[in-house]
Amino acid sequence: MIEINRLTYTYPHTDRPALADVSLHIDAGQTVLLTGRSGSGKSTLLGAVNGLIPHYYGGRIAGRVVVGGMDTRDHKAHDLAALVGTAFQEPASRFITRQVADELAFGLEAAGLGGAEIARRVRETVERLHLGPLQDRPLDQLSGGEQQRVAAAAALARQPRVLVLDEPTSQLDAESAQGVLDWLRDLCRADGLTTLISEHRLGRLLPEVDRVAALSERGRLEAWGAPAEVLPRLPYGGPLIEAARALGVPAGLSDVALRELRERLLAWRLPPGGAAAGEVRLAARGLGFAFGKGFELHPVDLDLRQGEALAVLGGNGSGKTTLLRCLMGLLAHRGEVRLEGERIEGQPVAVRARHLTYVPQWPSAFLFADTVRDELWTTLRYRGLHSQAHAPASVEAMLRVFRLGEVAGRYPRDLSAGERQRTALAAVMIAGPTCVLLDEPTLGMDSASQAQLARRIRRWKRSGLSVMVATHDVEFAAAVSDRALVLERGRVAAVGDTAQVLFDRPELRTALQRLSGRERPACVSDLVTDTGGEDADD
Amino acid sequence: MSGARTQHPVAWMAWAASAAAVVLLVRNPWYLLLIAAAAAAVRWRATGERPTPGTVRAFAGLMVFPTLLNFLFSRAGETVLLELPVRYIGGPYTLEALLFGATAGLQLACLLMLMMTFSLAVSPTDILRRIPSGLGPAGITASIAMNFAPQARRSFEAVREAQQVRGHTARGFRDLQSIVTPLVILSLESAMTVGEGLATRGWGSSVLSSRRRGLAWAGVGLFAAGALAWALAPQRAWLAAGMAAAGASLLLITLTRGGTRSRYRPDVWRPSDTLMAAAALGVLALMAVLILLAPALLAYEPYPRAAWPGFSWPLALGACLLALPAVLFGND
Repeated sequence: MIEINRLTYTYPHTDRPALADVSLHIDAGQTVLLTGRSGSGKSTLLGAVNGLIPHYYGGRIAGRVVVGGMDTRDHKAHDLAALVGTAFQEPASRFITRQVADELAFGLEAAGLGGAEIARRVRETVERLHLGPLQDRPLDQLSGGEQQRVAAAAALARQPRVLVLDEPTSQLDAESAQGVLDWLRDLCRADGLTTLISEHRLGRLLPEVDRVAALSERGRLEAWGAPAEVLPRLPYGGPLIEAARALGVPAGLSDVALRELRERLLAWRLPPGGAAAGEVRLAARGLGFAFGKGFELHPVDLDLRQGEALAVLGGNGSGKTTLLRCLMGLLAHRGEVRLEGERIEGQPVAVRARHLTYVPQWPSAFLFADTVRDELWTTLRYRGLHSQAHAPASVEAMLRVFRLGEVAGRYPRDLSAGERQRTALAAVMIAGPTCVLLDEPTLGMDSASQAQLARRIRRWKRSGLSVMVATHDVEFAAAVSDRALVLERGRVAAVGDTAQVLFDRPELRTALQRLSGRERPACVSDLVTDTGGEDADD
Repeated sequence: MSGARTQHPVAWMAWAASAAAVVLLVRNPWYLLLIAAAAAAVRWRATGERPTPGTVRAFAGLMVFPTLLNFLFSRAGETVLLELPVRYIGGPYTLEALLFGATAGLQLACLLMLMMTFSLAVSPTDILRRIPSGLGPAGITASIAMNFAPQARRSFEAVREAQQVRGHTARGFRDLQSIVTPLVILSLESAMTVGEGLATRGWGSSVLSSRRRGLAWAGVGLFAAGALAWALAPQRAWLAAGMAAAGASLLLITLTRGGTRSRYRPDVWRPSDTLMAAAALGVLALMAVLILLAPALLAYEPYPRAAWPGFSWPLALGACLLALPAVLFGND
């Protein structure tokens, strides 16, 4: 169905190819998982299949891609649309109409079908994909998981033979993600669709796929084959694979291996000690916020101590972002906020920013200088710290700490998700805050970058920094935080020790907790202690 | 919002186009004020929102800027308000220049008000669906352009916020440069994203047969030949105009009739749409006829000596007809 033959592609205005000499042969009806670190060219390869590459973006291409008999050099994306349905990573930014049913109909209208035929197909898609309750809702009022389903349904309404999904679950909480994946699996099986899915998080998808293609950081095909063959060869994997590696259990994850892993987990004992957290640094009492008639954050009390990390958990739309934005002063809220004992409700954002800082989801609006190095200088200028004698030295040191030395002269918006996140962090950390608020920092990051960020946050804690992380990723929360606060529809549903809070709610348990049936160890970092210097990162 | 969408998009297009044309034809401030008020009333009925201080400031700025500009740089007019004993910049500053500038400002504000109301009632998708199917790639470009402005507003807020979080205190005009570049980049990026979605959903695939495409190109050729003929032999203008008109009609016919797309939920054209479009076009026709027959009724020329602009009740009532959509919402 998909034949990729020695494909090499370079984006316009760049020298390094995004894909180098990639060859793949995918049979009709196969489900293929495309994996690799961020920036390895996964989205590019998907673009080569749906025809956006080379016609929409331009650039240089060698080799050929043939999809269902159509050569992408001769057929543009809009011609391939009859054959290939695409659902992108951030569906909300690509919706064309305002309402679910209209969105499903859009591709059919573009295809020039008759009115009766369009109505029939929309009805059929709604029924078959169980979208009945959604069909008359406005798109901007759907949750992330619902939007992802609508995007996939819109791609499927034209009855394509190939479905291309770019990280369909990266923005979803565990429950919605599982829902979307189950739904997709049933769909592919029933229709014999050829499916190409890119995803960082392997754990969830492995049981569903026929083949795995792994791309290296240079856009080369590193591995290709059945999941059982490819996986042990990859330097990353789900939490179970990492735990197996940490404990020296064979990483194939056969039933035998799983049993052995489980026994090793049960034999594990919590090491004694554990650092006591310091003074309360950031405190909120009765912090609440109402947004129109739709959403409300009910009064929240919280304390964040010195050297402590607090995870704010909750599904899409539970109010995590709102809570962080209220603390930063970006939303006018009710209640009381204290920083180092001093009331700060009345202070403007720029004043709070002297001690407190915030990095939003998708930090793309956050970066606006010409180079990565300039981003750091921009913050110093805003804060009036740029003329200090040690400023140049601290900028260079900060670039080293965040491993940005190599890309210091590059344009921040061209970087991979992980590099962009590191640039945003470096740009706020250069001003020396004592308290950091991070909103979904792992979004769009591959597992190696996530592990790195987790190590970095643990190091910050040891140096006395206070960190608050809003995330839907329970594995990440377990890896970095001491305490967790769970929000449900704008209310605090639970607060306490992270491992305990996660374990008490079956839907939030980590992979290790599910396997062992015990509260601890909750994550791989419980099993191994961080090693290495304070500054160096891997 | 939903109220505004109950009228047919084409009726809205007729309304906006007529009103904008009238604003460009008329310079009499009384009628301009009436049209601005009509547009504001329609917008208010549609959203129920009161104008925010920010909007009021933006409109005030739009009117003050051309007023000052003309006042400072125009030397015409007889009523001298101020004259300074300085060469070049000393004046004379006249009342007429001030009034002329203010009228121009009012015209601009009026156009902006109309566009704001129109964009509320009609989405880019409504327009996109009406672009002839033969013009696929042009449609994608148009949608990118139409999505630019709303994206720019969102990007502006995001960038402002990021700057504050990084310790930046807003300082008015000096900030402008620091915000313009990221704004343009962000908005372009998101507009391109929408374009990506359109292409992969099959928008822009031509449903024209190759014969029709050939006819369309022939139309383009004929039109170009007409233009060329006009340039080379202006004395035979009627021949050139005929060729251009024939080419344009050929192009229009092949593109619009070649492959009309069906719609899932076709917009229904109701009597109230006819009323709205007819009223708007009627106002335009009336003003156009008056421009030809009695230009003094609509024009306002403060030079050489300022006077009160003329006012006629029938014309004022005509301009008020543009507020008709505000009344039509009540009928649903």
